[in-house]
This record gives sequence, structure tokens and C-alpha cells, in this order.
Amino acid sequence: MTDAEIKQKLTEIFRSVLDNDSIELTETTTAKDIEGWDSLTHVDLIVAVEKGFKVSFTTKQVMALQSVGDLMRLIASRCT
Amino acid sequence: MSRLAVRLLLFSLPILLVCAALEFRARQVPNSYSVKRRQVESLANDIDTLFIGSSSGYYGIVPKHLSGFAYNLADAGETLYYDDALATMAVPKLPKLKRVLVQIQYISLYISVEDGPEPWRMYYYQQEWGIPPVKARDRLDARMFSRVALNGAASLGTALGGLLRPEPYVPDPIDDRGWWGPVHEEIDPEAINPAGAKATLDRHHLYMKAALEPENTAYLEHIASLLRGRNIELVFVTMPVWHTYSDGMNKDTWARTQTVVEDLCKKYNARYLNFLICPQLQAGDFKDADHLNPQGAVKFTQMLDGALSHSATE
Amino acid sequence: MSFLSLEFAVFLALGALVFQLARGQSRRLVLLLLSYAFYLTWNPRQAVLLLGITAAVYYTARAMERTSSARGRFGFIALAVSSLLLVLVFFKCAGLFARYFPGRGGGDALADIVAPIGLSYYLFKLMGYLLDVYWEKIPVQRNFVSMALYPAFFPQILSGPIQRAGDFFTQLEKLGNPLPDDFVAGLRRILFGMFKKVVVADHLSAMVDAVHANPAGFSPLELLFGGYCFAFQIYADFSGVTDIAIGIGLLFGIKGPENFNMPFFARNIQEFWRRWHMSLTSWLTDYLFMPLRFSLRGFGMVGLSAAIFVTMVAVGIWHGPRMTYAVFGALNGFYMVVSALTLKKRNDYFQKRPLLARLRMVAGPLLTFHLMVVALILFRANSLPSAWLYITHIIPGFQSAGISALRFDRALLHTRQIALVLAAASYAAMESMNWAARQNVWAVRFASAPWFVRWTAYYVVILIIACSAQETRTFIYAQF
Repeated sequence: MTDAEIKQKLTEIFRSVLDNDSIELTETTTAKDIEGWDSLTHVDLIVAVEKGFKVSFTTKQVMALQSVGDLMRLIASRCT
Repeated sequence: MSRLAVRLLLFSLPILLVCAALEFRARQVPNSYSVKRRQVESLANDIDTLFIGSSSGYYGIVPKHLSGFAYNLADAGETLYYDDALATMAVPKLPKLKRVLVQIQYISLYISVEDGPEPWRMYYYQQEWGIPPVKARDRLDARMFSRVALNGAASLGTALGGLLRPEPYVPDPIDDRGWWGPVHEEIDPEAINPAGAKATLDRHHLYMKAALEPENTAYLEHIASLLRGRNIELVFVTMPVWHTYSDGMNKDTWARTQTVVEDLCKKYNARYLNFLICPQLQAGDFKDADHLNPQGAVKFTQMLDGALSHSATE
Repeated sequence: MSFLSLEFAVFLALGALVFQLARGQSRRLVLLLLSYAFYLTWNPRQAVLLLGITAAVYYTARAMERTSSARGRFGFIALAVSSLLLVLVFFKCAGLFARYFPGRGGGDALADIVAPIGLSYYLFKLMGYLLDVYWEKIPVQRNFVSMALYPAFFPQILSGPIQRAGDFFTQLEKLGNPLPDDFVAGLRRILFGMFKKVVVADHLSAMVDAVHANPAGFSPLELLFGGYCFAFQIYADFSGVTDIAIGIGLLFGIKGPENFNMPFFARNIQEFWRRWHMSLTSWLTDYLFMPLRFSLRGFGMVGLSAAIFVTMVAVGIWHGPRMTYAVFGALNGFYMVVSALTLKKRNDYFQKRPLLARLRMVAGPLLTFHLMVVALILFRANSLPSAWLYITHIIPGFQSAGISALRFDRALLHTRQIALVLAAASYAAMESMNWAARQNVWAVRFASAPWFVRWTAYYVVILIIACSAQETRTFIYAQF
């Protein structure tokens, strides 16, 4: 998958899980920038990402995520 | 940054001035320690008999009923560390001093001020008499230097009010020879009963620590050698208690104290007048199980005076 | 030295002076020496323990960095975190063990063991540091002085806030040039914290102590009032000590994390815990809840509930090995699980009913506040039976015989009319100030007011504090 495809699919997942169609993601977006993205929904997002991209992450990989950019790179590395 | 420092200094100036005024005002309020210090200083050339001890003596010894010119330097809650320090300080300043009476009670060898029920007294001893606390750590406490800190921040409110509206000072009822009295006070009749005595004993036992015996004995020894070096007579005195108190005393502990005192007497050629059980005193002479009331104090002092001159002539 | 003593004020003044005179790297050393000097006034032996644990963590982190194998790294982190937890559990529970098993296993020696000052705070800081290094969120700290300063930093060691390693080390880099504005902001913060503690919190304690000493002797109204008072007291006390801690940090150019954000205005329980003791809850969220929740993600709702529940119980027992704290945690866990599971449905329901939604804006915080008042009764209670007695006796009809439901006996509550009015006024003043501090517009207005206006405000507050001061009471959160 290309970076653009990953971003597209990720955005769909975010919009679906957080029930908000206006969400836009960039490289540097963090939880602070998006309403509804808190510790409780964070794992829901990760679970949805795992299902949507058919990958699975380790705890360590998830804990190290700081921004959407990190997440996209993580997805890319697991997808190949 | 230096501009900031200047601003901070200017800001603090009024506060410091107010604190200084409060400190000055607070120091003018007398307490038992300041009163006694002034009395001892002014009577220095006349005193020939000095009584040192704790509350039993403070309430129970009436110097005017002792022969010669006696002064009662005892204070409530005083321990042997402070007895020794006061003796060391006062004795050289009293040219006519011939005799010192040192009070020994049931608790004397086993208590200290800093670990006792009224540790705040150590601040007064430092501020009024210049006697440092036993533990070096306590020397850093602000209450050792500042009367305002000692009275507590709560006093700031009342003190500020006092600056504006000075209240008449009600003096401690200390007579001109250091005795706390005569005072007509409501005496609780329960205080002398077994229940009252037990409450007192429980409190005493709570604060008595066997580990303090060696250092308290050392303080006594120091007083004894100081006095012998100056050829001043030393007399240990045990003040009377009511039987409800003495019945509850630990016999071994008291026997131990008496042994220590008797050894010191032999070594330093001192006397020991033990009035723990005093058949001539009635219930009506006590204000509680281990303190005499003014009436009892007069009676007892006269008895003590008789015993002192009686033994002296032997 | 207590924060509220004259000796500490002198210590702080001298420390700030030495700090200003030092330059560059040596400022870190000055702070370290100040921090250990401060700790030594509490307990010299425990200072050795603190240093030892810090050194162990320092070397472990560096060893972990040099290890390339994933298993090796995992081994290090597992060993380190479990050791630190063991130390925490040991010290917190030693006294408990001795009480329940007297004579066994050197019981008497155990009974004398007192948890070192600040243990919960500094162990959490160090565990967080190790985990952040393991998860590669922050680089390893190579400088031993910086490393040693992090857990020992004296403004935060007694009662927090629990600052994250990354944030702290980043700020240490900029220590060379603290702004004069920070210094004054720090002093203001300290003053405000003292106001909260001395004027608001301490004056509520008499009433709270009275009702908790004998819950059966009070009416439902009095008990409810006592419950409110404790909620306000612990809020004022703890946010006050946090303000003082943050303020002192600012004097040295370090800004600590906030602990409170108008918690009693939270609209639901989740939001409450995002606004109350924020540095602890966010720590437990990041280092306990997230990993746990992630591992349990295959178990759906059950997994989520378990993770929430465990985390809240942890919040409770972090305060100490007492049943009341554990049940406090469990109750909050229950609140949170119910709220988390039903939040979406509740939001949907209210979205369709705009009138009720507006009512919800008021009812939500009120309900949340009352839920917390009940939980805090548990937190404060002297024992579980006492807490149960208290809570049941609040229900009208269940109080002791002979007490009317709406009785309000001021004498029994150790208070007077004037005291109640002053307490209410000072609390209102405090909350308004809390609110205004968050509104930039007020901060700007105050900062640009002429100097004599500001100075008068400061003098008035100092006067109020001085006149309100009673016998110094220890901060509630210094025992943890």
C-alpha cells in the first residue's frame, strides 16, 4: 500500500470509530488535536486499525506511538 | 534579575517592619521564665538559699518561710538537664549562696523536655535563659529565636490587633521570691482521688524512659560537683505526694532513684530529705495528687525549714 | 522541613540566591544539593536509599540501551519494574504485616519500618522513566546529576505532582536562563497555594474530623454537610500543596504538571478523573491502563471493564494498604465502568432531546460531584465499618434514634455561624481565582495592572493568611 492509501484508510477508520466525519489527519496530528481521542478510545482505534489493515501490533509498538505519522509508519512496516 | 531582586526587597520591607514590630511587642510580654530571670538578677546579692526543680517545687516551696533569704527557681515541667544548666549559670552569680535544694521526684531520672508532654518549653529556656536544647537539630528551629514564631502564626492576628489596641497584661501570680502563689483557685476534688492520681501516673509513665537514666544521673552529678567545688551545701528534696499517687508508683523504679541519690550524697557529702510520704499533710493541703496547694505549701515549707536547720545542727 | 515553616522560607530564599549566582551546568548541581539537603532534614538514612535506588535505575537504563536483543531489553525492564514495585509494596505493607502477624518473621522489626518520605512519588517517577526508555519514547539520561535530580527534586518529592522524565529533562536543558516573570509567577503561585491550605482547607478540617469521629451521632443533613466539607477540604489542601510545589519549581525555572482543573465541574466520572490529581491518573493511564487495555483488547467489553477497574483500584491503593482506600478505588472503578459502557448511549439519547440536554449540563456535574462525595467519605473514613455507618446514616430515616433528619447543630460540628460564612466565602474566592487563572484575559489584566494595585492585592492576601493560620497541620498528601 502507498502512503496515500494508508492515510485514506486510516482517516476512514478514525471517522468511523470516533463518530466524526470532519476528522482530517496529518503527519503531526496527536491525540490532543482530535476531540474524542482519549485513553479510552485510543485502544478502540488501534483495534480498528488492526482489523482494517489485517495486522497486529505489540504493546511496545503501540506505546511508542507519539503521532499519526508514527502510526502510519508502523502500519506501513507491518503491511509489507 | 537584579531589578527583580530590588522589587522583592522593597515589597518585603513593610512585611519585615511589621514582623519586627510584632517581635518587639511579643518580647515585652512576660512569662514565668522572664520574670524569674529578672528576679534572680535583681536579688543576686541577697540570695543565700536556692531551690531548683519542677512544678512540685514551683507550687510547693514558699521561700519566705525558709530561714535566710531563699529563692524558688523551680518551674513547671523542668527536667534535670535544665536544673543543671540553670545551676551552672546562676551559682557563680550569687555571692552569698550557701545552700542549694534540688528536687528529686519519681519521674526525675527518666524524662526530658524535648520528648515530654510540653516540648515547647525548650524554646523558652533558649530565648529567656540562653540555654540551648539537648539536640543540635533543634537549634535550627525558628522558634528558638523568634517570639512570633514561638507563639505561632495564629498570634499574628491577635498581635496585630494588640498593636492597635494594647490589652492590659494579666501577670503570672509569681511572688517576689519565685513562688507560684498565693492564688485562690478552684480545686477539683477529683484530682486527688485514685482516678485523678491514676490519670497523672499514666501520663507520667507514658513519658518516662529508662534510657534517660544515665544522662540525668550525670546532670545531677554535675550539679553536685559544681557545688562541692564552691563549698555550697547540697540538699536533695523529694516533695510530698498524696497516697493515691505513691500507691501507684513503681517500687523498683523509685528504689533505683533513691539509690542513685543516696550514692551521690555519700560521694559529695550531700543530704537527702525525703518527704514523699508526709503524715502531717492532709488531703486539703493538695491541689492534685502530686502538687501542694498554697495552704499546703506554707505548711510544708515550714516543715522543710525545720528539717533543714535540725539536721544542720547535728 | 515542612513547606509552611519559617526555616523552609529561609532555606528557599538562600537556595534561590545561590541558584541565581550559579551559572550554566552548575545550577543543576545546586538544585541537586538543595534537594538532598531538604531530604536530609526529614531522614538521613532514607536519603541513602533514594540515592541507591536512583543509581540502580540509572545503570539499568544505560545497560538496557546497550542491549540490542528484544528479549534482553525485556528482561531488564521486567526485572527493574518488578523490583521497584516490590520495594514499594514492602515499605507500604511492612507495618501492616507486623500488625496482622505479630511475632512472625521478625514482626517487631517490621512494625518499626516507616515508608520513606516521598516513596510513592519518586518510585513512580523512576518506573515511568524506565518504561519511557524501554518504549523508546525518550533517550536514556546520561548525566548522573540530572538523573539524580529527577526523583529527588525537592518541590515535588513530598506530595508531587508526578512530572514525566522527558518533560523534566527537557526543562533542565534550559535551566541556564529562567525568566524573571517565571520567578514572580512562582511566588504568586506559592501565595495562592498557602491561601488554599491555610485559609480554606484547615478551617474545614474541624467539621470533617467531628463527623468522621462519630458518624452515628449526627443527622443526615450534618453528615451530608460533612461530606461536602471533606470534598472541599481535600481539594483545597491538595491543590494548595500542588500550587506551592509548582510555584517553588518556577522559582528555579522548572514548570511542573498541573494536578487539578476545576474537577467539581466535570460532566461525568471519566472527565472528573481527567481533572483530579491529574499527574497520578495520567501516570496510571499511560503506564498501567494502556498496556493492560491493549493486552486485553481481544476480550471486548469485559477486557475494557477489567482494565478500567484494575486501574481505579490501583489509584485507591496507591494511597496506602488500607481497606478504605481499596474500596474507594473499587467504587470509582465501578462508577467508571458503568459510565464508560453507557456513555455512547447516553450521548445519543440526549442528542435527540435538546431541552433535556441543557438540563444535563447542570445535572451532570451535580450528579458527578455527589458520586465523588460518597466515594470521598470512604477515602476519609477511619475504617470500613465507620464508612458504612456514615453512608447509611445520611439516608433520612436511617440515622440514629433521637436525631431529626434536618438537624444542623453548629456546636456539635465544632463551628460557628461566622466560621461557616467565612469558610464559604473563602472557598468561593478560591474557586473564582482558580477559574480566573485559566482565563488568559484575567491573567493579562492582572499582570498589566499598576504595581500598587498588585502589591495591595498581595498584601491583603498575606494578611488574610497570617490572621487565619492555626496550629500547622500537615498536608494530607504528604503521608503518601
